[in-house]
Amino acid sequence: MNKLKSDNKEDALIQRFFEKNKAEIPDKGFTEKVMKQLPEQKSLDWIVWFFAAAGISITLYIVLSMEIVIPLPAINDSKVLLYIIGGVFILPALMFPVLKTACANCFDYSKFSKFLSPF
Amino acid sequence: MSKADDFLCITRVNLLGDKTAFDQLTHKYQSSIRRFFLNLTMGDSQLSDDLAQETFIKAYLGLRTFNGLSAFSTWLFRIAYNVFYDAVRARKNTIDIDTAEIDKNMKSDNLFSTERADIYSALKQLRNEERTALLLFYMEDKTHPEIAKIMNCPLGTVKTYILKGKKMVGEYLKKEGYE
Repeated sequence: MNKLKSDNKEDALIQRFFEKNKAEIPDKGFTEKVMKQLPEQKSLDWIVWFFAAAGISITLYIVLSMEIVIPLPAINDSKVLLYIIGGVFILPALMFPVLKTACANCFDYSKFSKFLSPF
Repeated sequence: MSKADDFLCITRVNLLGDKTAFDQLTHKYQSSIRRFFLNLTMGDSQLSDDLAQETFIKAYLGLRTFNGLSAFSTWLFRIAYNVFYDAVRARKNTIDIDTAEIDKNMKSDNLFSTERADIYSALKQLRNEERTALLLFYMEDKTHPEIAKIMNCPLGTVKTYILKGKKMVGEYLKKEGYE
């Protein structure tokens, strides 16, 4: 019992000692220095462009060469179908740079994170 | 900034290459990482800043490998721990040898009061592993399992390090008249 008491006393002493010496270190340009030294990461934008181009190519190939989808009853004009399918692949490719810029510059993530914080 | 904010920042860096998100993470954790190094190096502020910088750069480069199973701070401290021991190995223990230089820093730098000198003297009594475990437990408020993850050793070993460290620091403090 005495040993336990003395252990608790010792623990409290150590805790107080460390707590007293636990100082916050001011940034004083440290973060800026780190940010300047960060290497440039390779951009992954090429993935979007690659898949968009591949998608468009495959679509064109299917529509123009194989004529598989042209007999669909709802779409009689093959050009309309071409525009629709092409648009599905082109739209994300066009939207990506717009969304990226919007996210980087305008979107306030701190507001968004409030909704996520309970999880 | 909560853990959800950390996760959002990490996602922004990984998906959009958004450096400002990493700036926020660095700003949030710079104090604890620098303090951790400052205590490990016995108050060598120049060396601790260099090591902290290396830690953040390594974290940035390896951010895609962060799987989110542990907290970001635990993952960051694991990198810091590795950076410190790599430095110790690379310098062939000059961190221990350069105590004269460090003592000089402690006297000349206003940051290091008598109390701070006391904490370094207390930590000097300990082995590197005990010192690291004790600092993570008391200074950085890490739990035993988190320390085990950071130091990559069994939970029982961490508890032994802390127990031994506590005993030695306790004896030192009593000897120095702390109550």
